[in-house]
Amino acid sequence: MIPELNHEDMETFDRVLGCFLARSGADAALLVERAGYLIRQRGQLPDCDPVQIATLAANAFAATELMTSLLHEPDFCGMYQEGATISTLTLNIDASCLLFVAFPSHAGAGAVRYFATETLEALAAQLQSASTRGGKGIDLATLNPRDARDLFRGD
Amino acid sequence: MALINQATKELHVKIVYYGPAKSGKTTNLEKVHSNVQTPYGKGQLVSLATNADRTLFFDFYPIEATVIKGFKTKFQLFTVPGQVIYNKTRQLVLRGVDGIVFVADSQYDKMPENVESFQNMEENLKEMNLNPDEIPYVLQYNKRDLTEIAPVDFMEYLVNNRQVQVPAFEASASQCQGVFETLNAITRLLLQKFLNPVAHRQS
Repeated sequence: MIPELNHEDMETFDRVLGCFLARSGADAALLVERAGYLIRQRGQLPDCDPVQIATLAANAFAATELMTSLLHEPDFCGMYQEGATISTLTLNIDASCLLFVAFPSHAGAGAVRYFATETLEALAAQLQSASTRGGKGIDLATLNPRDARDLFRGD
Repeated sequence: MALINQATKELHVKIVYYGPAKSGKTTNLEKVHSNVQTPYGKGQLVSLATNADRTLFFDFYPIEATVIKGFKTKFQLFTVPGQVIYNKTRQLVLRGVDGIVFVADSQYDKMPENVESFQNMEENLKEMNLNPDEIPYVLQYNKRDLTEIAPVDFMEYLVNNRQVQVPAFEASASQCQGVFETLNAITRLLLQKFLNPVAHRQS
């Protein structure tokens, strides 16, 4: 289960992902929750919605993970897509999150993966820290669930 | 489960539209996407479908609103493929679900499929270590505009025959009737769950 996140977490994610991009030469790195939520992004994806990419990456990862478990390969930890100009790598961080990386195809997945190793460990450590810390929750004092009765309206 | 981001003041919640094949789950999302009034800008509807427009993996539509003061709430709406053979896929999409809309087909001859799909939903939640009694859900009796449909009482008996009944809505999703009522109802249940985790089903 994803822990509640705060400013300290975001700053760490920004620093770790930024450092990863600088070292690896990747275009963009997305921290994605396994249910498909985009938590943090550094770098830019070419003319596409990162929310969509995050959701598709999380579900594709889940599908491939299931497939490998059916093939009795229990140690599935990453997924590589080779493109003509942009390739992607989706890597497991922990039970709650994934790292999605888009990088120039000429860079090679091996190099990106090499630089991702420390990044995965740093992200996992921060998520673990967030889990240990717990959260303060949302101040629900102003929330009236009846307000949601007409929250979404059609034309 | 829901993601709370105190740094960006965002709450992410995941709602899954479940139900038998061709009951109108994708149509619900299409109508929300094409008709919703939102100050945040419309996102794109993503459909992973076959050439015949049957959902293969899921449909996905992100939508934002402010329901809690100071927090932007990001709703992720998903559908599952209804066909029986895609059960593993349904389990994948259910991962991290916060609330469910069960879309039942009102046509008489679809009643066995409604019941089977509802039971399948309960089984899948249990298999994923989720307690069906703790996941808020609402029912939508879709296709009320067709002929040869079952009375609502009968459908209630089939899929809402419990000690604590959940909200149920008649709908004709193809005409956008009942679509937003259903979405607002599951949203309200989700918020009540945040307020009162135990009694959210009794509203």
